[in-house]
Order: sequence, then C-alpha cells, then structure tokens
Amino acid sequence: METINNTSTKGDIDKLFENRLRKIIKPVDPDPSYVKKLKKTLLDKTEIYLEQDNPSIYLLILIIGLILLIIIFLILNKIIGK
Amino acid sequence: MEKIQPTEIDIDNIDKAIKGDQDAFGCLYQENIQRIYTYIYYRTGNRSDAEDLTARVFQRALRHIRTYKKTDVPFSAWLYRIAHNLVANFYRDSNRKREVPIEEQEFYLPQPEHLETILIKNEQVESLLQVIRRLPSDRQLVIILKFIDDMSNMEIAKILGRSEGAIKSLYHRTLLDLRGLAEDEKLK
Repeated sequence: METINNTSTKGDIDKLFENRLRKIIKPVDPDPSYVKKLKKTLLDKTEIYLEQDNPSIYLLILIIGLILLIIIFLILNKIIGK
Repeated sequence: MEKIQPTEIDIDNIDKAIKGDQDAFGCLYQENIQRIYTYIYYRTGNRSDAEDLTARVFQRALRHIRTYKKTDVPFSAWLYRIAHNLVANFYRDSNRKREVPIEEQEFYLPQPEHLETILIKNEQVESLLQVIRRLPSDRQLVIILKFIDDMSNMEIAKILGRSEGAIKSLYHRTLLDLRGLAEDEKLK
C-alpha cells in the first residue's frame, strides 16, 4: 500500500487516496446459482399475448345481427298478416 | 467489467427486447447483472438485500422496457436509475438505518491477486466501506460508477440528470469528504 511521506503534495495525496479506493471498490460477483435462478424467473413466465383488434369479428357480428333482424321481421310480418 | 458504451449487439438486443423478445432481454440481463448487483451490494452491505433488490430492478426493467428511450441514456444507465430509486425506497419505506452492525456485515474483499492487494488490511477495508455507506446516496452512486464502471463525468451526469460540471465538483467534494472521514476514523 502506498505510504504518504512528508514531501507529498496535496495532489499526490488525492491520487493516493483515489488509488486506495480503486483497490477496495471492485466489482462483486453475485452467486452464480442466484443469477441463473433469477434469469429463469424473469424469462420463464407465461408468455404475454397481446390482445389485438380483429376487424373480421365485427363483420361477423354485423352479419349475424342482420340475419336475426330479417328473421324477426319475417316472423312479425307473418303474425301480423294472419 | 465491460464499459457502459453500448455496442451494435447491445443496440440490437435493446430493440428486440423493446419489441418483447425475451432472449434479447436475457442477453441484456446477463451483461448488466454484475454491475447492478455490485452497486446495490455496496449500498446495502449484505448479499441478501442485494439479491432481493437486484431481482426487483430487473423485474421493473422487464415491465417497463417499452418506455425506455435509447436516445436518452445508455441501457445500463437506465438500470442504474431504477436501482438508485429502489434502494432509496428500500431505506425510506423500512426506515432502515444505513449502518448495518459490524457483526452482520459481509464485506467483499478483493481476491489476493498481487502483493499490494494482500497488504490491504481487512479492517481498513471494512472501515472505509462503512464510511462510504454514510455518504448521501447520490455521492455513493458517483463513487461506485467511477470506480466500478469507470464512467466519465458526462455519463454520470446523464444518470443523475445533472450537468457534467456539477458531477465533477460533486466527485471532488466527495473524495475530500471521504478522506476527511477516513482520517477521522484513523484509517491512515
């Protein structure tokens, strides 16, 4: 470890202190099993399906509605006509 | 640790992850897990809290990846922001004291790769880490980003939403304060 002697300037002392910090503050390795487990938890979730608008469903509803209206109209017409 | 500047592969992975590609998010996770874990570990002082909060950072990132804007900050910087906020909430919500009793603390000690590292006494390392944890959160972040990620003042400025000059000044003041505190603790 560096020693700070009497002839050190203020800048030298700053640099020495910075170097000391650099030696102490190092990347820390997380537990590999934790890393693996977390990745699995994050990515193995059930897939998200985005609901998308399907225009053909609206057309189908419209056609069914029209057919029902025609049937009702015909039934009512027959009843009233009697 | 890899530099924070994104490569073309990173950019490609970010694009894919934004579109919902889980494998791409997995690559981003793999690249950033160590730096985020390290940051939180230094902030909290124990592995259990670091693991819990790191998991929350990536869960939040996955949920909000579509809101990430590439032009704003690098992806790792975006993760640091999330981590910074979560650690702040962690202390605020639980009113935890930042100083963990010495007997409960786990300290990371550098692997003895060379003589100089071996000569760093454990006690000094522990005391200095305690002093770092007493700093305000933004100063801790500056120190960790400087020493772990070797970030420039400009990159740190983007993360903290301040000017480059402000970060330069903050870093300088932090070093001075740290040295003062370290001297108080008779580390020298």
